[in-house]
Amino acid sequence: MGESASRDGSDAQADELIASQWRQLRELLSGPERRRLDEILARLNDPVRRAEELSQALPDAITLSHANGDRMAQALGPTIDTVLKRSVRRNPAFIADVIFPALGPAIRKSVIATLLGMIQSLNQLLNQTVSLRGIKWRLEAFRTHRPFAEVVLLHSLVYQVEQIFLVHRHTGVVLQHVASLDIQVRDPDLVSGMLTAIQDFIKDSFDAHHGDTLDTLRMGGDHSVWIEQGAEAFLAVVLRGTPPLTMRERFKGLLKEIHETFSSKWADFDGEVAPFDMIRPQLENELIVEMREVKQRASPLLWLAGAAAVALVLFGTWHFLQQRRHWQNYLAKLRAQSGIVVTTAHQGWGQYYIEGLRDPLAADPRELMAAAGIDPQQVHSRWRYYQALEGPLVLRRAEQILKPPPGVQLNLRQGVLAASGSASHEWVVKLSRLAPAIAGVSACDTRQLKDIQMVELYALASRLSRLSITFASGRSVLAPDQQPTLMTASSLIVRMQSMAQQSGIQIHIKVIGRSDPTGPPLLNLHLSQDRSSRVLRFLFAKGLDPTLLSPVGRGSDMPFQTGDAQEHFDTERSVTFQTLINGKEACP
Amino acid sequence: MIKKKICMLGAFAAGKTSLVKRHVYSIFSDKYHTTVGVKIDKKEMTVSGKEIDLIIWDLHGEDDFQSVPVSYLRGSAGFIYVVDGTRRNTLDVALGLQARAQDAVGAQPCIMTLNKCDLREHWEITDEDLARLARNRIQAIETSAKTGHCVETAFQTLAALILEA
Repeated sequence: MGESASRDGSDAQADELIASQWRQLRELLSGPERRRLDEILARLNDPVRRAEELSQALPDAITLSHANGDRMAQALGPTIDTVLKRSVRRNPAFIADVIFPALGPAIRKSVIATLLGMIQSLNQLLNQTVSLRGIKWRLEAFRTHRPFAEVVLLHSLVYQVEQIFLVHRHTGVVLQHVASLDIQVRDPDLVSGMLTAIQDFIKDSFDAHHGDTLDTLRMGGDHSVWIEQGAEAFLAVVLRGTPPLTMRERFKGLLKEIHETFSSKWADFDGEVAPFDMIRPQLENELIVEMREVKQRASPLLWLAGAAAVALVLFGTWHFLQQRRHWQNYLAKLRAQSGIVVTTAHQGWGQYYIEGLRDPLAADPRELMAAAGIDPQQVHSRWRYYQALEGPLVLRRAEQILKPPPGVQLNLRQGVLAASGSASHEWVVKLSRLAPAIAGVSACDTRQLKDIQMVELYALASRLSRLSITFASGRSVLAPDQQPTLMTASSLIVRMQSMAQQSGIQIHIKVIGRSDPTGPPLLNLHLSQDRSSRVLRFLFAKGLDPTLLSPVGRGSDMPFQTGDAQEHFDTERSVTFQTLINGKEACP
Repeated sequence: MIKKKICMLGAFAAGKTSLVKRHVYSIFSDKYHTTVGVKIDKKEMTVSGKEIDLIIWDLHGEDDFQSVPVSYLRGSAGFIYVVDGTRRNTLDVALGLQARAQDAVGAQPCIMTLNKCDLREHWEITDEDLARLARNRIQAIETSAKTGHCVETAFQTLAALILEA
């Protein structure tokens, strides 16, 4: 028993030794690797360290992934979508701030593109409207009862992608639908459903082989639907015209890309179509319109219209310049006129406007218009009248007022109106009265003007003054030999009386009786008075105006000559005549 | 926006088309039934705050449920079976259609509308039939195409079932 126990103890010691040695051996052989493994496990189990390491490697990994294709972008796409959506929902203002700088230019670009499109369409329409081809198409539209736009489209369109449906193949639900703006669209959900049903119907009806699908529907000559099948979705492309076959490949590629983009969506598609909105811009880019390139040979009508327009513009410019030149010339002429002051003048839209002052005696502006080539109908004038003080106009005004008779010249020098020539007494009086009242006339000079009646009266008065009726000494009886002299005197006085009455000249004739100095002075005075009275009575008897004549007896106080000679006494015993014209002695 | 395809099935002259005519949006004429065998309509609705468009495949009524094209049933998220309550055999046809649809696309939410409930005096559906439907977990709703009775309810019920599924 004791031996047995001792043996057991030694065995245990041996086992312990072996285990210890084994541990040492193991430590020697695998200790470093085990410690490294522990360290790796610690790193893997420590999320902080792992995140730290990943953050260092991630940028390189993303760069590497981009270099190898766009799988990373496709993989991150849905996550980024979700993040963006959440961000927009949570803080729309922040996103608005971020995209605002890009939004303005984008909107501008879009508006410009739309406007350019409109201008292009307008150009096309104008070309088609005025060209011969356009007229032909219009006739065709009239003949076939189709809208003109449709006929134009038919002739000028190569092809147009009108609508694109992206349809979930299994359910027929439309995932996305885009259409050209000018296309009338029916409910895409119903159309895509029916399109799916028709595909099924055709497949079922005609025992299509597995994998055979409907790929084209054709309507009429120029309308078709291309159906491009994918594993999960199909594209139905509604086309007008004849697109190039390469376009089919293009849609195949697009569908493939869509499948890859939404690879995670197909399996658990539950009818939610919102995620497919992101594909919409790409589909919209495929709404292509290809128009036939028509050599734009301008029609003769267009040339004619263009030439007419150019000619019209040239004529308009020439006409405008011509009118403007005429107007300037007219204004220059007008301003050079005496008695015209232009205050304002302007021209606009074929009409002329002018305002100013004008002397009524100045030249007529309307007559100047005709001379300058201006149509008076186009001129709106407003003149205020005034009296100009310029020499020619003052002279014209004087001539207008005074109306000088033929043979009279009027001149104006420094405000003095000088008349020359011969005129009636009446006109001379009028000149003296009116001239100073004429605007611009300060004085009147009549020194060179001959008063016809006055001159004649003076001549008659002179002749009358030279007549002498003589008497015998101490006698007052009219001697028969004095009759001729008396008759001459009577005749002269009649003429003077007539002339004075006609011209308004005041005349008076003194019939002066004289005596020789022999005899007493008082007797001589009576004798001379008696002699004067006798001559007066003779003249009255001849019908002369009594108020025109007055008797004067001077006795012998005022002899013609001095001396005692008998011949002197014969001369003194006489009656003579002295005429007063307008109160002044005519022959002193 | 959720869009779900549903199929509406029923015996010939069970009143499918009449039932929904005033309640759905449609652009196609009834002649599609006799040509393609199906007409697509749409019902826009909101269920529990969610907008949902039901794309209704209204299949041409067949008494022989074997002739219904399976391809039309594919992808359907729900079914409306229309029964003419005054004709007992239309229930059998509906049940046959339901079995065929289940074979084709698996178990999907469905309701059975017992139409023409305004003609109660000619009613041929018994309580036992209703109990049978309940046993098969098919919700039955009595409707009237004439009065519009419970038609909206039928759509609401099916949409709710689809969203729950």
